[in-house]
Amino acid sequence: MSTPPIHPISDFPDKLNPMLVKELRQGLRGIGFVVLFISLQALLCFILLITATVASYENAGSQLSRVIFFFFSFAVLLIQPLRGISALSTEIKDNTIDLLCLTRLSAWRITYGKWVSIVSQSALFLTAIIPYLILRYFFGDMQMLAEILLLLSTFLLSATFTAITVGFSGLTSALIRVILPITAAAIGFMILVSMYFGGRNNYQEIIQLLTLESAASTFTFLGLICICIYTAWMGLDLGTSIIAPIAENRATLRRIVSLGLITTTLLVFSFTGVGADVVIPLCLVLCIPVSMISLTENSRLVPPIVAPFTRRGVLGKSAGRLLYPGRATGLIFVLTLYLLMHGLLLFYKYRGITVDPWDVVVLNSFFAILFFALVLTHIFARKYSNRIGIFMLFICSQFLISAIIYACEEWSSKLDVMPYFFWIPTSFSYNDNMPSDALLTASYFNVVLYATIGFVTTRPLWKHIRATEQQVHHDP
Amino acid sequence: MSNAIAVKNLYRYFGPLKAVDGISFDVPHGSVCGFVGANGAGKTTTMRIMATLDYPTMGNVEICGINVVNFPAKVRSLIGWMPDHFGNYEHMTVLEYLDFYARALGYTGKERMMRVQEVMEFADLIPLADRLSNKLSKGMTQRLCLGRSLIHDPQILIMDEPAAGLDPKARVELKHLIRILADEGKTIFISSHILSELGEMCDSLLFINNGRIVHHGDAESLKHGTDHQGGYFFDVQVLGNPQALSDWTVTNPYTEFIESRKQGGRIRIESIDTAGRVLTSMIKDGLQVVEFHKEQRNLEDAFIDMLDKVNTPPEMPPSSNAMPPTPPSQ
Repeated sequence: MSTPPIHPISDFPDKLNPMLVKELRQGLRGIGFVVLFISLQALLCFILLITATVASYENAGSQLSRVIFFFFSFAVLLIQPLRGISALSTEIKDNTIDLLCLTRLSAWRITYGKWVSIVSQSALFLTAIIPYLILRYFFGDMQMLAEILLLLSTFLLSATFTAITVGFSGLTSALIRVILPITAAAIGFMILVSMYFGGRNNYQEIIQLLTLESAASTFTFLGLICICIYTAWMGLDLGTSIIAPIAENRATLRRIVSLGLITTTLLVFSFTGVGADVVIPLCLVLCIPVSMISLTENSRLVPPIVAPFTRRGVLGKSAGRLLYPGRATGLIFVLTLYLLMHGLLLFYKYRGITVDPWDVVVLNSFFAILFFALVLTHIFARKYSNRIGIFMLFICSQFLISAIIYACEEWSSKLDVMPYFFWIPTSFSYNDNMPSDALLTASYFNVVLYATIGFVTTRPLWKHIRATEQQVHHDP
Repeated sequence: MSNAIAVKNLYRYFGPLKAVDGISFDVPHGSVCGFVGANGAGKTTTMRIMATLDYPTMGNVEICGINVVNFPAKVRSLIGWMPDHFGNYEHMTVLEYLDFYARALGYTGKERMMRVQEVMEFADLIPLADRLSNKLSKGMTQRLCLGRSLIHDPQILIMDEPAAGLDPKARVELKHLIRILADEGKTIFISSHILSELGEMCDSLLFINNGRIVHHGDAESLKHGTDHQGGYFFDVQVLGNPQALSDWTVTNPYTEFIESRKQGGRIRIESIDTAGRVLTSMIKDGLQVVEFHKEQRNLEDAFIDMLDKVNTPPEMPPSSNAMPPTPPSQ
């Protein structure tokens, strides 16, 4: 007797990412989503009634908007991204990541599927609050475009934060994976409270900005979208890199995209006459994720990664020095970014635009912080596989140590030791008494010192790179 | 034609720990190879490298002639992997679990349902179709894992301790399934602590100790082989006082009394050539021998002997002056 056929499952179409199907099957049945979804609905219903009763006729609409946006932001900007903390770590802990990696799903599709599933649940929250916004419309004083853009911006930020937590979830260090996002969420909660219910009229200012009445506000909004997309991609790429096999080259694309984006930003801003005080911080923000990943990558190279470069001769090999995966080439790449931004400063000088030395100090110190963390990671965490976690801890430690020294100095008015700690790159922000020339020199000194040590420590990796290139040359 | 699995000078270091220390072996297509070793011997590390889940510090592993480090995606399509332990997903039935993996392996529509149906039939999972996958017994979970690893019909199956923690019934069921797969011509590389079972189903056995291969051969050669000093064990039964046998061995230079048994005992004879002479001497000396036969060693004994053999320090230092390899930096 033959076995009866199993009943087919047709809950999700074939075209959907299998990871999304899995996550939705699990996620929508999980208690976390259901409780949050129902709680939000109940809370909004209750508060809608209370606010409508209590608030005066004139400001009822605005008050309702604040309440709706606060709870929506709380759910999608804080709770939903925090759910991403366990996205990859659960798979790693349960040993199911191996089973996933052995399927045809690429590391990117696994990470992307995890992210999309949480974002799609956030999208359910978005659609769920639309009826409340329609109700709110009848209370008047609604700025339709601005409030819709605020809703979409919040959703976009939620997707970005989720991508960061999903990316971090691949890290084995619980300190970085859990404590950092929770701390960020706590700070985020305070920001949300101050934004929607604070004494200052922050909410109105944001609504005003989102009316897009001026070119600057439109430009800022578009910039926000670009930064969110870039950061989300970087976050997901971090998670992907952690679970991808070494034969999968994620670094080259990541570096090319970042280099392209940063160069474009520099060019656009410098030609439109925007000051260095705006361009440098903006570009440094863009540099953060790619630099951190590049300086902590696994340096193991295999012939399939090197072969496409060596096929193109000397030019290809030279490009490989910048684009091969690994922290040795990562150091060259980050230095290239540094020189690129210095090129911008030269361009400003060429055009007769004054550049504040403080901006140069910020620029130098930013890269010195990264190089110093690279050196510390090499010294203290040489054998540690999850380098990015340690690297971030060393960055945080630099800020912490500078803050402690500064606090000691403030506490004892006679103490003036901060200048002696100039070699800690984060100390620049506390060196109020130091002459600007000395500060500038110290910042250059730090960059040169730590980049040189970085080069020395990564020397053995270059031997491996050359050996792999030779292996490809002999056995193409 | 290349071997299904070819491992050459494989090293895997975790800091100072040499998990795998320069092993080499081949597994031909269509054979079943047992991988035996104590905990921490390097079995799982070797298997994970073979399954593209870890990287060698040095050395080369090829699956059907394809390098596992350079072309992991190609290798992955050829192998099925059963880990020693893994978690199942919450809120997902057995059917949904297999359906997900079938999707992840690129099957769509009717073909996907067909593959799921086939593996569910094979692993006898159809009665469990609607059970939650994380609420299954260990035996059921292992059948589910086997089914999952077979969805894409791999040529090679790598199984890490599949019978660990199973009750005797589940073990017999699993062994039956593995035998069917072997009959279908799949190459199976299996590690286990239950050596007797491995002996029954494996064409060859690999013994690994402290990251090094200490034996590669078939089970029969081990069973009929000698102990680590080249001796053979005989079961001898005598009429009358069994103590007489023990007393006799003391006076006989080629024999050693190992242990008493109900009607005699277990003795060790240094060389198989002298067995006939020993028996003749026993009879001449008045022992009423009713049974005298060479013992077939079980694999556990063979394994222990093998470990004793490799752990006995050699009388002469090894002639090789090869330096240990320097691993590339990570």
